[in-house]
Formats: sequence, structure tokens, C-alpha cells
Amino acid sequence: MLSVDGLRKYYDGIRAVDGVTFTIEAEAITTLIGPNGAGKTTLFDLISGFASPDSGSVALEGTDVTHLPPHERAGLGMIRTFQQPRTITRLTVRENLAVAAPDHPGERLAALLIRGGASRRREAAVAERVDGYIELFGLERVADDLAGTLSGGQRKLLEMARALMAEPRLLLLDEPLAGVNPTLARRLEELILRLRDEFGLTVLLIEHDLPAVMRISDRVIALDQGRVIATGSPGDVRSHPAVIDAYLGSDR
Amino acid sequence: MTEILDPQFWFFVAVTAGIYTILGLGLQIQFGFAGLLNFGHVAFMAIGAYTMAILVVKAGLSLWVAAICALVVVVPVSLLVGLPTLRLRADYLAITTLAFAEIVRYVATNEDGLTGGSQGTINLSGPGTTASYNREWLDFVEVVQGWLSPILGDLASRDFVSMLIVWMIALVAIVVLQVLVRSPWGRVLKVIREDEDAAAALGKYVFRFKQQALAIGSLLAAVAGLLHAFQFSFFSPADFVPLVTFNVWMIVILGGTARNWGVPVGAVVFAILYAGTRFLDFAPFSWLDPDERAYLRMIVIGLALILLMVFRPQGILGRRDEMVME
Repeated sequence: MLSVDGLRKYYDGIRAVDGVTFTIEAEAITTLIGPNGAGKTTLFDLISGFASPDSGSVALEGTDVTHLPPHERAGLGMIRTFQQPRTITRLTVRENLAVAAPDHPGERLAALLIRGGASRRREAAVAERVDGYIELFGLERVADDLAGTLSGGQRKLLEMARALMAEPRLLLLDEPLAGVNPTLARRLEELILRLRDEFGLTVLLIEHDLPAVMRISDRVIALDQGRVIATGSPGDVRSHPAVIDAYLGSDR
Repeated sequence: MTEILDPQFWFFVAVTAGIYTILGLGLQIQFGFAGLLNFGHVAFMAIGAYTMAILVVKAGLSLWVAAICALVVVVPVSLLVGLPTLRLRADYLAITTLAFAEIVRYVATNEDGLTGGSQGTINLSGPGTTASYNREWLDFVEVVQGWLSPILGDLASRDFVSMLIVWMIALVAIVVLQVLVRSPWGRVLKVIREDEDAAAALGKYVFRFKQQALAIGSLLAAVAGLLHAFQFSFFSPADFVPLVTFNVWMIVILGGTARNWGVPVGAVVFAILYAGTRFLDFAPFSWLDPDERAYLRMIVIGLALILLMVFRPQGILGRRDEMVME
């Protein structure tokens, strides 16, 4: 589904990502773990196009996307979320979701002016999908509030729901469980599993909550200092000596 | 004090307010909805007015054809200005547009052969002759006056008719912009205004939306430039100083950012403050000489803005709850 080959990104001599190679399988949940500063978010930026690599390549389903801007990668079905939810505070929750719908004829000025009907029909279909995600994520009570009034946890939910509205095939989630209360975190875990099982999505996530990672991941990739130090099943990676070293900081 | 009661004087003020409304609507779509810092709005007003006048005087085109050509010219020019800057941070656009507007004004001042130079359009057909471009506009206004005077009598002056036309155009512009900002297209603009990365991550081509907002706003500035030229029958580079752009900024902020209906409100308040200070001819203002009193309007407008920002930072029609969002 996604293959990353020899990705490298240095910032002022710091090797943020230092030759990372891996592939992820379709309809599976793959998790990137690693201590702070291991290069996980930089890697996400490189995969989604928000940073460009010094060398290496990114391919989505065999298509080289290394030099495509973020919006074109999104157009190919690669949708990311951000660690700090990018809530559009002055739009309502509903609007935050609706704006993510892809290929909306009402977003093209010419189509809007010439074929207003197509835009309205699409908008009605979008509203229906929005309702579905509002229900799925339990945002009914705040659906018509400005998103700026949401709590941190609700913003996390909205961020994920909005990514789904964009009709992804590959979903990149940057710490979806961080900063969320334990009850909500369990619900999000369940949701992520359902995305794979019911929606057939491929998910790549960054997550620090190791017990959760063990529960939901099909495969785990451990990073340290910009390099892959272990990949495999959750159990294998957890007991891998290099991973234990990286987390406990011994033998450095 | 009799002038303050003269409706004709206020019709004239209303024409200015209407032209500023159209200018303000252009900035509203750019800044209020797309978050673009355009500090050179007046440039597109100037390009619209000059293109029209030059085509009429030098190419002998009909005023109406020349006006349409002027509007057609402004769009690609605005896209060219956006091309190098819209992909960069917002402040680059601010600096570039400010510089661009000054370049336009300096070219208009120094290219005597093309623009009539610092003497303005009266010099368009060369020294010693008096050029005029708006015969057809004056004829048109006269025709409308002919329709209206049986009903309204002396009230139906030139300024009255101009006021009607300018405000009808302003009203159409408001309605069109309302439709646009409430459309899915407008929704994307609002996302871009708040967070470009979020928009890009959702697959929106941010640059295209910004270019479209810039072009629509510039088109409105050009319409305002044409109306300004029609109404005053003469203009010169001095009409397009940066202060005009900043007046428009004041109007947009005064009326309420991201509120289309706030623009006419801001423009009317601005025009009344601007014109009204001339009536401050009683003590203690009469102690100042008339020249000094003319500057009072800037103090009054400045004071009004400060008070507004203290008591109503969201503008007259703005929404407080949106203002405090993080």
C-alpha cells in the first residue's frame, strides 16, 4: 500500500529521519513507536508531503508521490491528522466535517456558477455523511456549535472524523490517543479497529500508549534517532532488545 | 451650517460611501474570508480606471467597451501579483501588494505619454488639449435623470442618479458575495483563513482558492475605480495613494471582519465621519483655521476606531463569539 525507501531528512545537522525504509500492508494497522525525538512526526510529514526529504522516496500503491504537494497526495487517498488537532474554530462542527468531502463541485467557482444544482445535490449527500460521522463519534450534542468551543478530547474526535470524511484509503493518525481521557481512548481504539474491519482502511499511526499499541496493531515499526530499530508483530517488537534499550536508555 | 441640510451634499457623500463599499467588499473576500493581507488594494482601482480612460481617449473605444476591457485586464494582473507571493507566508503578500500599488502609482505619475502623468487624465491627449472620457456616462446619467425628474423633481440631480447606480452595483456585489461565502467554495476559504495546512491535508489546493479570492477582490476594486472615474470625470495618480487602501481596511474592520453586510455599514460611518468633520465650524473648532480643521477628520476617525476596538473589537456587525476563538 505504502512504501517508504531510504527516506532521509536532516535539520541543521540533526538527523531527524536517517534512511528509513519500510512498507505497510493494505487493510492493516501499522504503528510507529519510539521515544520522543525518534523522528516519527518528521516521517509523517515526509510521507504526507508537508516536508520534502533530502533523499529517498515515498510510493503509494506503486505511484511515486515523493514530489507531490500535500493536497495531491490527499487526492490520491492519503489523509493525515495532526498531533495538535487542526480544528477550524470559527466553523461549526458540521462545517468542519463537510469541508473535508472530496471533489465537491460546489468548491469550483465555474461549476458553482454554471451548475448550482450539482453543488446542491452533492451538498445534500455530504450532509448525510456528516450526520453519520457525528453519530459514529458521538458529537451529536455539539454538532451545530462552533468547533472552537470543543474540549481537547472532542477536538481529537472531530479531527479523526474529518479525516474520514475525506474518504481516505490510507489514514495517517498522529497520536490519536494522546491527551484523551482513558474512557475516550478505549473508544478511539475500538473505532480504529472498526476502520480496518468495516471500512477496509489501511491505517498508519504514531502512538505512545504502548498497551494500546499492543492491542490494536497488526504490525509495529520502532524508530530511534531517525532509524528503524525493529519491525514485526507487536509482541516481537516489544521484546526486541534494541527497543528496550531505546526506551530505557541503557547502553547509549 | 446650511450645507449640512442640503440633500445634494449627502447624495455626493453617499456616492463616495458606495464606491468605498465596493472597494471594501473586495477586501472583505480577500482578508475577511481568505485571510489575505492585501495592502495594495488601490492598485486595482487605479488599473481599472486608467485602462478604461486610456482606451476611450487613445483607442477611441466606447466607454462601455473600455470599461469591460478594464475589468478583463485586472484579473490576469491580480493573478500575476499572486503568483510569486500566495505560496509564501501572509506577510509577503502584504509587502508585495503595498509595493505593487506604489509601482502602479509611480508609473501613472511618470509615464506622461500613456497616462497623462501627474496632471491626470485631463492631460491624456497631450499638452494643450483637454481630454475627457466619460461623455457616455454623463449622457446615460442624463437619460436616467429624464426618467426620474417627473417623479422626484429637482432632487433627481446627477449625484442622486450616480448614488442610485453605485448603490445598486454595491447591493448586487453584496448578494453575490453572500452566495459565494455560504457556498462550499466559501467554506474552503474560511478553512484556509484559519489553517492552510489543515486545508491542504484535506486535499484542497490552497493556492487556487487564494488566487480566486484575490481575483474577485481585485475585480471589485476595478469596478470601484471605474465608478470613481465616471463620477468625478477626472482623476490623477494622487487619487490612488496608499491611504485609500488603509481607509478601506478601516471600513472593513469598522463594519466587522467576515461580514459582508458590515462593509456598507462601515463605509457609511466612515463617509459620514469623513465628510461630517467639515461642519465642525463652531467653538472650540473654529479657533483652528480651515486647513487645520481638515486634519481633524483624521483625528476623529482615529478616535472612533480606537473606541470601537475597545468596546466592540469585532466591529459593528462582527460576531463576538468568533472573535474569542482559539
